[in-house]
Amino acid sequence: MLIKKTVSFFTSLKLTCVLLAFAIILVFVGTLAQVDDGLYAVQAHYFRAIFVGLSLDPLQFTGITLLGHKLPLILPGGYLVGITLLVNLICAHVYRFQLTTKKIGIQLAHAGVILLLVGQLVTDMLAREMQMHLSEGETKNYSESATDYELIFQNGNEVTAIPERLLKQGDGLKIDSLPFAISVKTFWKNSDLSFRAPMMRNSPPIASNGVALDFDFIQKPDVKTTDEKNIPTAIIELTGPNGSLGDWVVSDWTGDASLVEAVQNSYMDQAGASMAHSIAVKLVAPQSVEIGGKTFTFIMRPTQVRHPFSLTLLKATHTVYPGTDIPKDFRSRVQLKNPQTGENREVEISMNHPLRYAGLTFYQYQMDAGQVAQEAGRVPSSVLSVVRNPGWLTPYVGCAMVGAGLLIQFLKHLIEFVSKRKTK
Amino acid sequence: MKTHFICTLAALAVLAAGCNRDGVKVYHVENTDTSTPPPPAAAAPAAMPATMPSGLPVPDTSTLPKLKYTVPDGWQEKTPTEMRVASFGISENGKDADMSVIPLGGMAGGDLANVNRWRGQVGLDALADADLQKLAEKVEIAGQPADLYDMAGTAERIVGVIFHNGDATWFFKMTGDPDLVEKQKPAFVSFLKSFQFGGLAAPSTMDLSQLPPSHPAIPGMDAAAATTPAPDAANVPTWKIPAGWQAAPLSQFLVAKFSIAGADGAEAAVNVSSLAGDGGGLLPNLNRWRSQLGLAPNADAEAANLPTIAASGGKATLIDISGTDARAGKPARLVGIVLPLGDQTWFYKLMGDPDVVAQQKDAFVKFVQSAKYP
Repeated sequence: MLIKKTVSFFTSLKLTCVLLAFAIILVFVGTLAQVDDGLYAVQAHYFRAIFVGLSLDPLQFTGITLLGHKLPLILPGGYLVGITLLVNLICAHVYRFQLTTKKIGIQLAHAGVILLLVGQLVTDMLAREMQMHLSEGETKNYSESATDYELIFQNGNEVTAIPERLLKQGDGLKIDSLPFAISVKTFWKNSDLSFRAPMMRNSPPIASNGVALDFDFIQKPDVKTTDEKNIPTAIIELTGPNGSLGDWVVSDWTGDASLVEAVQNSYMDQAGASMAHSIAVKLVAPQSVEIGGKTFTFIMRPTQVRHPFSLTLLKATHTVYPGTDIPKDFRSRVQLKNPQTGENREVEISMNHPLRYAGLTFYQYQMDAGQVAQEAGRVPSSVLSVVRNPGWLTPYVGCAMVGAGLLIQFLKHLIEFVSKRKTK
Repeated sequence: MKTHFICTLAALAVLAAGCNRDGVKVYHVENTDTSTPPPPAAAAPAAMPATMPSGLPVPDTSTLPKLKYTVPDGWQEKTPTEMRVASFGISENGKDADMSVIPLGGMAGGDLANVNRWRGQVGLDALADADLQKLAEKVEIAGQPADLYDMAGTAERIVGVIFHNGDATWFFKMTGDPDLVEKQKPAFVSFLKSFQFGGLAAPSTMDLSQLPPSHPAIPGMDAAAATTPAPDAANVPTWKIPAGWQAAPLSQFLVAKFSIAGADGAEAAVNVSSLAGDGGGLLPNLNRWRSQLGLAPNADAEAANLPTIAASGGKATLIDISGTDARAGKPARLVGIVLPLGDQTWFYKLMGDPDVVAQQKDAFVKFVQSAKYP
């Protein structure tokens, strides 16, 4: 009885309609919420969520804030709507499936929609967008995330990478590859820093070792827009078998070369080139701890994904239309080397001509080259967007299946209609 | 069969929704890979940006000795914040204006760029270089001539002065309601006339390596800026200067500086500076000196065990460390003496070639002990 009820619930057309209605409301509410919360927060709280407006704490009700007004509303989130819709569709498909040519068009269109939904789920779960920043002559075998960070401990050539999301304030972490425990005393998702300049009234450093002696870090509100990014900072204490080894500040301010350069440039105007450089050098001074004869250097930095091959930027070309500043072409010539396969070849990556290699797609993303970089005395550089999306083909195949299914169905009806008229 | 399939699918879907993402990863990299980014190359000074950099910090100058000036009637003095060394609010009949004094290092982007930045703020078109001088009104700051620019927009008016003082550029700016700014312009001009720089110079003249953290400006110690008043001899201690020590040009905030030449071009230098209070504490200063020699910071306990010497009726801490000069990349030795005296702490530093420092250490200690403080 229960099974029968479950089946009839999951195969019902009413469920489809309700879910589609929720999907419409969710997209509408989610779009409005971007005004207050920004794209990334809405993606996480509305679309990559089971419920919206319900806190993770049991029975804690938060409601939805829209355009500054708090509404007592709980909605099914994107995951719940999408997955239930997928189940509903598959169930209906399986339950009502009849192997007959009469319904082949409908079956094909349904299968296409299922593939679209599955493909979207696969993309959401597995796709990853990273970046590779290269200056001319530079070689890299890793790409970096633009939004995620990690705390790494390096001992010799062994690296232990802890994702930022595990660094919760008050938490203690014990990791097998590290001979000490890490306790997170403070974690700020976004932060600012200021140099402990001789002219300042300095409060005591926020940690007793390393970069905290030269810089103060303060918490900042999380950023909402897509063209800004959060810069996380944490105060960690390391504890070995014989007690505390001390506390340190770990921050993306010290681990992201572009931020270090931004800090240097900001002080350039205020304090002159040589002092700005001294400040930048202090900012990147390595922090390390010695325990049991091993030295562990640690840093917070954008999450890195290592590749079994390397790219070297040979030339970054930024051409403009003659006599104007309007960009005509961005082009990166790279050397691709893969020691495992022995591959060693040159590839040109330009707009609309990405490099597809080892399951990754390298798109031309940003560029600092041409006359502007030359006049400013900067080494030409290029940023490649590195996308891994195992489900990239599914939208194409899904749409083709839906299109073909509908075409077959319409043509069949048309032929039937025309032949009926002829017989009359 | 179909029913079972549907139930299993529903259960799987619930599990998939709760699926977890990445955890801790351990991997190996090539030995040449380092985890820290390389220090950026020292770049040429950039022009001042169209807007001041936001989000990035500026020194808090709130503990600086007061600049000397006469505050006109009706001006409310505000706490200096961020870049401002002096800040005032003016309110009258519901209209407001703001007045700020900001020092910046170097040329700070040039006068034309800054005037055009101000003109942009009030909605005026940018000027060409040739027109700039025509618009400049002559005023006087601390007895020196300076150029005043008056820019009136419909909603806002800016009266600004750009004054080049030694290595620094000072910006005096009154901005606010057009009528109120016009009315307050004479008061602004008289404020400028009353303005005295004291010992405060722009941060560009700071020498990071010379100073302990928390170092306030020392009035009258700016030998680099020719227009600042001569050092106030009353605030400088007197010493017996050992033979072979040459007085050297002072960096900003140093009370005294000497250079010592050794054999084969080897050299060392003595710096003297002073700070209010405990100067940030012994440990941060010790560790800052250690960092100049590329040494790891000390733990607290070690700092307490440092030897002390008697000097000028007080007890001074003696620090003697060797390492590699972080700036020159050469072996170096540093002998430092930290002497708390009254409500001040004096910092003496002998640093340079290890041989020269070894030869001069006794003379250095005697030099510190010979000091007579004002």
